Amino acid sequence: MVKGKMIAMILAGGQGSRLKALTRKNAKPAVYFGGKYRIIDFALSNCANSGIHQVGILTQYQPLGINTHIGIGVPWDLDRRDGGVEILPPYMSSEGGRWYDGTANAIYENMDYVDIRDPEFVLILSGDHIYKMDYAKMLQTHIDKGADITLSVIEVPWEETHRFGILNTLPDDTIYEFEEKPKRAKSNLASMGIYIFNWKLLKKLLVEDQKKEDSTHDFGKDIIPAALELEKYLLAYRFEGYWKDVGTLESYWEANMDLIDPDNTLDLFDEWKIFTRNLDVAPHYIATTGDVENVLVNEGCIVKGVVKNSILSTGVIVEEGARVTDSVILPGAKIGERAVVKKAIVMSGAEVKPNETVGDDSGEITLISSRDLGMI
Amino acid sequence: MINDVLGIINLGEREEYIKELTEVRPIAAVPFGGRYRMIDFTLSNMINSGIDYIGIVLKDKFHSLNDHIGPGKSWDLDRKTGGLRMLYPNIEPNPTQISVGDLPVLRDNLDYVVRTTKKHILLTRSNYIGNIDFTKPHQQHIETDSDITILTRHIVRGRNRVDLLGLDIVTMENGEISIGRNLGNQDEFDLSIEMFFFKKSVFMEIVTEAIEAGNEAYLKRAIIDRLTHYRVATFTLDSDILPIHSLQSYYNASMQILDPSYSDYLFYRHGKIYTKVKDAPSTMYLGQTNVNNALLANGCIIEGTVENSIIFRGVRIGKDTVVRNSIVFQNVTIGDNCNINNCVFDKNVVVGKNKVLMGDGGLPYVIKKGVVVK
Repeated sequence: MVKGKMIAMILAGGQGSRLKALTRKNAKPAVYFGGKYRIIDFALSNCANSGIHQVGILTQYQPLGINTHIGIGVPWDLDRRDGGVEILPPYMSSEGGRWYDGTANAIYENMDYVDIRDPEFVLILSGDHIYKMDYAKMLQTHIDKGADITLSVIEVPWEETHRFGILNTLPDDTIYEFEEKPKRAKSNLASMGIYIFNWKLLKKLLVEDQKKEDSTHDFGKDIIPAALELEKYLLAYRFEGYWKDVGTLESYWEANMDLIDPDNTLDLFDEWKIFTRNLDVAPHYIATTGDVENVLVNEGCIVKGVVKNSILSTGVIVEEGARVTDSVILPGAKIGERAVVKKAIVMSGAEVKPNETVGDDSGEITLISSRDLGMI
Repeated sequence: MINDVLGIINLGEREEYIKELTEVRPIAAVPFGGRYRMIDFTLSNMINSGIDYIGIVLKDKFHSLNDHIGPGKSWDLDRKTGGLRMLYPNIEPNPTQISVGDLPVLRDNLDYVVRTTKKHILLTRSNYIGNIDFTKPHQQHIETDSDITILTRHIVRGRNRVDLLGLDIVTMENGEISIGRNLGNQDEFDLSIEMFFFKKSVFMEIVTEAIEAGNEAYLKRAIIDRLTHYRVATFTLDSDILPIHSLQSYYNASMQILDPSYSDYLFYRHGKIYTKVKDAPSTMYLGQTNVNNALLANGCIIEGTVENSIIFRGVRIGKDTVVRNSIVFQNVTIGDNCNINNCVFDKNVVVGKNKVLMGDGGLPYVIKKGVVVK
């Protein structure tokens, strides 16, 4: 990666209301995931591993969790003399203050930030996807093919195409049409919400889009169609590997469970490390009464009960006689003596009282929420 | 919060008693407690007490310690003012003259001590493991206007305790404090944990005098010999301190942290223990594992049985393998169907399938760093 050639802008301001109480106090990218991470760690670590050292993070909804988590970017080696990581919240200007209104508007409001960095390319990312990807390879393809915009795409099952933004392509992967959640899809290539733009073009598109009164200022719905209308060269970059949008409680739970599936294609143990803020806690302890089977256990946990097919995040305590199955227990949660937890998500700082039973065999996911902010 | 103390961690001391693990590293860099190195405890205790101006006196085998500590980021010691400083010995112009002791290193780095504006010095070693609040002994040191304050731990039923044999004890004779050796013949005594507060001027005096006299190699000896010249006090810590000076005491201390109440004290009481960040994922227990009374760090993949053991980061334990009463350092791989008891595996050891490795509780079997058992 040539220094300064491409900067990344991570959209991290969304509420993610379908995650219910998980996002009451936290924006979706800051929700805990996979034992020790927050969702945004994947996009950020991908940047760090791809050699992108200038990253802007656009925040809006409940930013405290993200702000404290990211700080000056030390865990991702993004505490740089030039650039590094910067949090970009909405701001006041001489024309008054306004909230970000759509993903494209968020970038529009920060055009100055990008201009100072003066990059040739801008990478737009969502802060709420779980995947490992080398953006440098995507940029290389973008440059080699001479594209104006490159969109990362993934093949999704045909029966799910109605849930995604679908890209219709020519045999050489040139995109000729974008359809948002089509009823009858012509292609099963879904947009992953990862775009590389030539900055000069993006800037033009953003300015034009801002003038349109009927625009929702959204990359998928407005910017991409506008670029197609201008007959720009939009290229589909096919991504193969694990990718999951954790937008709902179900997909969030599934993505966690994928981590303990031996056939899972997202390997947390490989060389492409996912970095996160370290909480400096001791190794976890499994007592004589404790039993773990197909479980991911993070540091700081104390396990005196029986845990199966579950994720135990930082500092979780499972007391004696408790049984936890098919569940995601978030940092600092406590499962009391002889409590039973089945297919549940127990939020950070929540407590399942002794002898209490949580969740059932109905197949539905039970969310045990907590009033406080949990572990920051 | 302490703000007038320079911390000096002296790694130039003798360490011949724990050879098995110190061949490739100073004792300060010996792994301990699943994810730490010995020095992390002293270093973190200092940080947690507010001491953020710290020099580490090195003598040899720097590499593993440098790799571990780097610029001190994990301890928040990468500072513009103060922070961490490695005090290396100067290279002798005549390489055949290998200097003995830690005093030559202190001489080479005396400027570092001279230049600080801190009024006091806390001198420690790295081989006493505990979670120590230095603010109380510091307060007494200041309030009593002592020249030297020796930190101690009161021992009861200490007669014939092998793990305490040969360690320093503080005695009081005719109103004068002196330091001697524990011969195992007393029930009750005050163990010196080899941590001292000094007035900076006193510390400088002792070091320069000893260097000029030229008849001593070790700082500790110089201190002991000069105690009578100064106002000396002791401070008895109420924290449980584990002295580690032999393979046996290392092994026993490690096993003690399997007691949850002890580990709760050791890892959290007066603040967290910080260490180098490794960014490993959580530990994965695959299939029918059987884990009893074990402490495991992140980044491991466990498929077998682990009992009464301490497992460091990035360890793999295969199917049908049983690991009992053992300590397994970072990045060790143990294959399927092995039977392991009372062993200490140093870093990067690889054990193949169907192996049986046994030590004894009284004499654990140490497998050296990087050894491959095929």
